[in-house]
Order: sequence, then structure tokens, then C-alpha cells
Amino acid sequence: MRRAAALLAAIAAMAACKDPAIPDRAGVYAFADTVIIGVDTTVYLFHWPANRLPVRFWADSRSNMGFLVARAVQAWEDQFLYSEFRGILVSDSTDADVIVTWRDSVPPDVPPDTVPAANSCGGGTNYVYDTALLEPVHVELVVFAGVGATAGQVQACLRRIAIHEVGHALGLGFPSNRHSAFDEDIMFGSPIVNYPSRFDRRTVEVLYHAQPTVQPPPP
Amino acid sequence: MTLVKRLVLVALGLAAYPSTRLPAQVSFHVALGARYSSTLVHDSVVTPFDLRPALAPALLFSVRDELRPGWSADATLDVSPSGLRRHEGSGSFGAGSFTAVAFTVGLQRHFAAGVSARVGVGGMRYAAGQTGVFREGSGGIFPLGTVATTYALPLPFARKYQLEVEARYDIHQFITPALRTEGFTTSRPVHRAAILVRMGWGGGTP
Repeated sequence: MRRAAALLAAIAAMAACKDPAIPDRAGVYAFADTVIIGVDTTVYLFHWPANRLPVRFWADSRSNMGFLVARAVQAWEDQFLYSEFRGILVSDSTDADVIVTWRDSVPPDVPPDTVPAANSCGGGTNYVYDTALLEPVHVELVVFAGVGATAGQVQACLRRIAIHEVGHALGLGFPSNRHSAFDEDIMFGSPIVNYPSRFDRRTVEVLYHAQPTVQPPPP
Repeated sequence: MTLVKRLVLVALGLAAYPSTRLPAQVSFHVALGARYSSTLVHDSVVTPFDLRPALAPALLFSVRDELRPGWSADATLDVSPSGLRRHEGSGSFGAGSFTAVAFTVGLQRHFAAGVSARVGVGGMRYAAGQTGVFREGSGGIFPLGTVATTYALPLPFARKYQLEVEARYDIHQFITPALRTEGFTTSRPVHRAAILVRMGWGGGTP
């Protein structure tokens, strides 16, 4: 009987613990075109809602674009604690929510260089919208010619840029592709880090819990 | 083979072991029912929300040994696969899944009229893919306390199969490495309640 009473006391002690404090998430950078008081009364804010997940990405079949996009989607999925975003690759571009293609030249699929890469690639993300997106989000990756980078440096650069552009496709910086002002963030204008920072994480978390003003295109 | 599959196989092996080869006071029990779990995580990003397991099946395997008249001890493996839901103002959304596996040892007191009460302690582990709150691991084994009350149905058919209805409650503290990374510093008490139908064989009728 004494043993049973001791067990009951231990259970009661466990039940008496109070709820943990909610963490502070300071450090969010501007992730949307925000109101400029007295000048603009419109906030354009977009993210993929829960009822449109997983977001369907189509990747150009040339070179290793499929790998780059899948890796970038995974990098962003890993930022979310509560499954607010999920993405998949689809094989038919007509089924896609986001279409990712090469602009101009297609780089060779080689291992990335481990030394600091030159600024040898870039990208762009385009939306057509009013109160809703009117067509799939278009993302382009581009290799800059004439900068003297090796194929391995280009691949290292593309890994970063793919994450950056997929970040825009998630809604970060919508609609004019605003950027973080800090170079430790993957959403910095010319990213030099390889992975989303904790500020990228906090920012995308806030974006995916904010009320969007622009809806996704019809499924 | 995953931890969950291994534990289930061990439990099934124990449950299937012929009772005629064991001392008469040892009995085996399998219970099936439904389980409610309280919130695993309460958080707020812009607006507050809760992460809570959905109503889930619960499957229990027990080995019970009569210590003396009116008292028994048992070891129980408790498996409960569940979906996770994020509940916030705008609705409820899927947020992954997991299987909760608990192992407890307990003392049971048998009262008159087929009623008994059990108290137990043990450990519990969340088996889940490395996503969401489990992306950096499941947090290891959480200490678990449990209480239960059982009613043996007073029917000939029920006596033959040792059918019992059980109400079970347990509590543990929950936190994962990913939640610590996010800034949570302390764990949260998680309450679980289950209603089960239990069937047993071997041993004497309690």
C-alpha cells in the first residue's frame, strides 16, 4: 500500500508542473511590402495556405535542377516546427504551383566547390497577381557568364540561390522580392550563407501565421 | 527494424506464449481502445495555437502476476499511433504523426464486485519521422505515471475471456530538442486518458 501511495504522489507531483513559457521570437525582418503610413494603404502579403499544401514544384528537367529544387524545398520545410509548409516535386508543369527553369545557359552537374564561390549565379521570382495569384509562380535560375567561376563554384552558388528563390516562392518578400538587410540571412539580396538562418526561420514562421491579403491561384 | 516494431513483436511473443507452461498465477492481457491526449505544445506566432494529438487507437499488452490475494503486479507495453493536429483560430491542420510507446510496471488492487485499481510508473518514447517538433529527435524516454480503474464484466462469457473495461490515465512531461532550439526552456505536462476493453488468459480470475 505504501508503494502505491508513493507512486500516486509522484504522479501528482508531475501533474502539478506549470506550462512552459512561450519563446520570444524577436528578430524578424521585413517579409512583405508593408504599409507606408500616409502613402500606401495596401499590404501585399502572400503565403501558401494549409489547404493548398503540399505546394507543387516543377523543375526544369535539364542538368540537376530537380535536385536543387528538392534540396531547397527541404531546407524550408526544415524551418517549420508545425508543418505549416510542405512541398513536392511534380513531373507535369501544368500541375505545378511553382515552375522553376534555367534562364539562358544550363550549367554542368558537377560536385560543388568547397572554397568560397564567386558571385557566379543569380535568380528571379515572378508573380502575376491582383487579389489572388493569377498563374503559377515562375522562378528562374541564371548562370552569370564571364565572371571566371569554375563549374564547381557555379554549383555551390546555385545551391544557395535555389534556397533563396524558393524562399520568395513561399512568399518571403512578396510581391517585389524584398530582401533581408543582413548578410547572415539566406534572404539577403546576394546571399553568401548556405542555409536559412534563425532569423530566416523566425521570419517565415511569422509569415505563415500572418493573415494573407493575396490568395493562391485556383488549384 | 524500428523500435516500435521490435517492442510490438516482443509483446506479441509474450502474449502468445502458452500459459500452461507458466505458473498458474501469471496471466496475459491484451487491451484495445481509444485515447485522448492533451496539448503537447502551446505556442504563439502572431496568434496562439496548440499542437495536439488526434483521438487515437491504443493497444496494450500486459503480463500480470498475482502477488497475494487481492494484489497483483504487472508489466505493460502501451502502443498508440496518432496524427498530430495544429489547432488555431482559423481551424485545425495536420502536422505530422507519431507513435507513442510506453512501458510501465504497476501494482493492482482488486476490490469486490469486479472493480480494481492500478497505479504504475514507467517510461514513454515518441517514435516519429524527423520533421516538425521531432526534426532534431524525439527527446528520449520521458518518465510516465499512470493510474487506471478496471471493471470485470459479470457475465459468463466475459468471465471466460477475462473481459474487462478499463479507464486509464497517464501523465508525462514533453519537450523535444527542436522545441529547445526554438526557445522553449521547460517541458509541458501532457495528460492522456483512454477507455479500453481488455481480454486476458491464463492465471486465476481476479
